[in-house]
Amino acid sequence: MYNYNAPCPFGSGNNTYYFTLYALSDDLQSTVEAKKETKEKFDVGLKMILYASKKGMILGSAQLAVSFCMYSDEKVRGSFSVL
Amino acid sequence: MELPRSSWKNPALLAFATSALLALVVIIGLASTTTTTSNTRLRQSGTEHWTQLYKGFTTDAFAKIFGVDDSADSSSSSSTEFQLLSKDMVNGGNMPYTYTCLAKNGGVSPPLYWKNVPSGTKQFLLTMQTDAFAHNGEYILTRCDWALYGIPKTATSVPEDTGDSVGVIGGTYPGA
Repeated sequence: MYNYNAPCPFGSGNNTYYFTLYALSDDLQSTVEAKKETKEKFDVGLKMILYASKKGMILGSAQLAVSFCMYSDEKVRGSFSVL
Repeated sequence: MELPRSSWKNPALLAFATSALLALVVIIGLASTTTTTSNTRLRQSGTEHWTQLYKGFTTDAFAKIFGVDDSADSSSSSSTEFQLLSKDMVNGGNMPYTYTCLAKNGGVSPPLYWKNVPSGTKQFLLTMQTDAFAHNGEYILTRCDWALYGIPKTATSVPEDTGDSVGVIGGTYPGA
């Protein structure tokens, strides 16, 4: 990990999104129903990460960090890095 | 040895001296040209060498520090490490506005793919976390974190706006 500052001469400032992929050593089955609210599904996903971490099931993780600046013309200029 | 003044008036001797002087000039000129050419080659060779070293260093440094070539998209890394990448994200380039949380309905997820998966992987889990700060350090509340779980081990990518196509997705979006 490192701190990356995208060039933001004006606007709302830096924004960074972190995409993280976890490789798990076992299948985790969720009992969440498809019709559940998206927030509930999200909570299940977070609990899965915690559970996998606690059980030592995370074989590895890969992360893509996306730093970008928002401009008034709705164009997004960014810098991207694989962490 | 000092020549008698009368010898300067001897045409044969004067011609000989002139020829010798011209020959000397030609020899010096050739030697100078050869030396210059040689030095130029040496300098060019040195420049190329350092340029290659510099290019190698910068490429290696970027590859090691950032994992990517600074002039390419995020898919250009040749590392053997487990990596998450996207062909739609070019370093220093523009990103579709729809990939941001500020887009309508919280935007859509970008297409992503991965490689060099750890052996023994049975399943994947993908998350997106936002980390947005304004210039003054104040936190921007526009967040759209999401988690995609139950991704089968055979998957190597997720498409744009993946939804539940390769797993189950849930998130916190503006208004959700």
